[in-house]
Amino acid sequence: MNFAQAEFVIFLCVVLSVTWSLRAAVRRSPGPANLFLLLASYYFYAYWDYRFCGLLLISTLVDYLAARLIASSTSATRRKAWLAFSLMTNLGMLGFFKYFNFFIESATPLAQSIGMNPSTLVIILPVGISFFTFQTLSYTIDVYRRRLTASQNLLDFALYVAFFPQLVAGPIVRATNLLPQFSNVTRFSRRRFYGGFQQLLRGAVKKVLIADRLAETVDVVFADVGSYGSLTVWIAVIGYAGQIYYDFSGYSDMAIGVAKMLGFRFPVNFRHPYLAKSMADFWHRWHITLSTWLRDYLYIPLGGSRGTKWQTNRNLLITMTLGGLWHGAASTFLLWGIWHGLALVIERNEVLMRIRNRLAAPAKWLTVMLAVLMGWVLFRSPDIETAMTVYQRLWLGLASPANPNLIVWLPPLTLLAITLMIVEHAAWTTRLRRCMRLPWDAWYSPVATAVLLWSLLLYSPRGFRPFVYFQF
Amino acid sequence: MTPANRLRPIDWIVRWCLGLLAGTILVGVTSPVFVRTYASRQWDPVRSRNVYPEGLEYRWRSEGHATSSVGPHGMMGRTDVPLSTKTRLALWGDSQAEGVCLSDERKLWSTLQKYLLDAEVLPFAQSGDDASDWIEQFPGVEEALAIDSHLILLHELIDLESLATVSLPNRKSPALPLWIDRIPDFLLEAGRRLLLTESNEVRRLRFAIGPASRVSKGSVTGEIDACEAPNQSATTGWSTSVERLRRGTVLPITIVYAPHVSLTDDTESTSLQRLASTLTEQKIQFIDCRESLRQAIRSGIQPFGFHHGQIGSGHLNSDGYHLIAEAVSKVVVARPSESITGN
Repeated sequence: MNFAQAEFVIFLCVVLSVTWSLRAAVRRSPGPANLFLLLASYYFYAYWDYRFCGLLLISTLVDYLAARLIASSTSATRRKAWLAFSLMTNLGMLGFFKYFNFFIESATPLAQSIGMNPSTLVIILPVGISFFTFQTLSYTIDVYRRRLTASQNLLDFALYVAFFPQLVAGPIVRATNLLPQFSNVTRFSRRRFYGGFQQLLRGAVKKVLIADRLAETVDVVFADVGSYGSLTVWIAVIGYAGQIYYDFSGYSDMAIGVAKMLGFRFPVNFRHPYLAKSMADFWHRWHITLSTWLRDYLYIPLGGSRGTKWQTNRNLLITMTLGGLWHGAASTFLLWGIWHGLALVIERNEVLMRIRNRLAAPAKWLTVMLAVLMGWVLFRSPDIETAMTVYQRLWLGLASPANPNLIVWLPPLTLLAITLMIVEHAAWTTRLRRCMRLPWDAWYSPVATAVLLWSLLLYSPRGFRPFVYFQF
Repeated sequence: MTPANRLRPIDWIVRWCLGLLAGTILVGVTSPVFVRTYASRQWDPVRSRNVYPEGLEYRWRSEGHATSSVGPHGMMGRTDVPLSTKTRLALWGDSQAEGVCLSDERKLWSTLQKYLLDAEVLPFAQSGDDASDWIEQFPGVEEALAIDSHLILLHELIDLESLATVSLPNRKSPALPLWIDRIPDFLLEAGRRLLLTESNEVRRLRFAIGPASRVSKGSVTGEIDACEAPNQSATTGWSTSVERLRRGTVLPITIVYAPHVSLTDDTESTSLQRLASTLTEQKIQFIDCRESLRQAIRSGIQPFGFHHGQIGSGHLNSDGYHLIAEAVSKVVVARPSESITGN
């Protein structure tokens, strides 16, 4: 079940009604409401495929047990052993389901050269495995580091792992953030409920009205890049940048909004990344929960920026490369990660830093945007050959046999999507940002809410497009 | 204005009700830019079928973005019955010939008139029509409108093949009841989106746990999918279909074949050769536009699609219509003296 389906609307109404009714009926304990949310979350996941629930359960039990044993062990060796057990189980599951075939295919040429013929398996990728695996790993690592007390409540912990708003595509919520919220009794707040609803609505608009509309154009161009001229390909690449941002941030908004309506607070996952003035700034704004996870559990343990310049650059490259690989078992994702790693390393170069500091703000922004766009080409392309063709079209301006003006005329709804995209980014003053959130007490909020709801119903593309990050 | 935190609950409810209503009205007023027309059809005794009423401004808002004027007898884009003595050519086909994606002056009938200087083209093509629909309408339009010959734009062979098996009369539509006209189009569009899937099947919600198996239940409106008649050309040849077509009228018939074409393979050659020879036997002219469509694509002109990236798919555009009109103008000559007597 995904957030853009009619079934989800009905599911959410039922969950909200029952949850708040249980909380009203049993005011002193969050237990009954949490149990219901846990069952609802497992149903939500089983809606995709009931077999996936087994993995969720294994991950939950292993990490709950491991954390309890880490916390109760006094021996450093035993603590490490239990942490290793948790890491191996989680990363083992992730590695098998996500990367087994990738590594087999990558190793096949070498294996065949020595007379072996490895075969791939038909493996169904469980939805959200990358997300909930990282989430549970952060829990056991934080317990190991003594930053967090091991949970004594299996129900709360199971809910932390399986909580449906963020289960399949994040945000990656830390246990330090969410577990205490589950153990507290939550009071209903109309203002918070309303805020959650508006955020859910905003997310749906981003995903359906903007991202999916842009995808109509982007998908066609990337399916046959060789037939399009330079201008067309530029439009498609910029369109993809819009698509992936609005798709993913839209999903995050919906997840955060649903959690808010249920009385929980999730961390922000995006802060207008296309307004970044440096690559480091970009990664402070894009998929924030992942980038902070990589920083806290990979970059800093590797040494972070505490060592020599060479070591810092090495750590950046390793972190970003693995971050790219996290997105998918494909060489294009690996290269995307390396690209961003190199961009961060190059940005730290002192000579280049002096040159950059002399640039005006728009020029700085443009360099960052170009770097990000070139990275998106890798991210979107199905293979390296397509990516190379795209780069050629973008920079070498090779004429194509097809009419280069073919894509210049875009249908009105796509133009509307692009307009919304530009307005949302360019008009981002503090005052306007508050207005765009349709505050509780604003006279225009009912009008705007009606317009958004009708727009979702009338102007969304026919035909369902899954969220981009569901494939990760 | 009173801040919301000082509003009584009833005032808050009133504010929201009025605001939602205002938003709805705003959407309703602006919706014609993005929402197509929904209209009932009315019985036309000349064509013996239900057609859009004369005077309707029919908006099309998905592929292409145009408004068509509906004329007498449901003619899409043509608002008059000609008074001149020029040869009258009845244009038939499905949505490819109807041309709602284009403005009236760029539709196929209008483009043909620019090429066929001595002819008046009357457009009777309607989305979803096939050969059974065309021959049912021949007698009425010939008598009432003094038609001199018929021109059929054939996009899919199945539209002609099905004539071999379908039983007549084969009345399609009425599409929508009359009370539809009283409901704003945007409400109808919303209802359609809620109740039907993108392939016009009734939307069925699934609450069972996955993995899901998908079963298609069949289309509601029949507008999208042509019925799949058995492939007559493979077994009995085209004789049955073509004979029925020939028996439908004594006037000259020209068939223009303009399918989606592939630049690399050609799987239809054998079937088309049989069709062409069968048509010749029945004295029906056949114009195969495939090669000219391929030539156009090779030279960078896309005859299908509407410049929003849908290369090679969708409906014929203005360039495609010019290609067809050019091909027709080289072959079709007004020849009222050469009508074929029926059996």
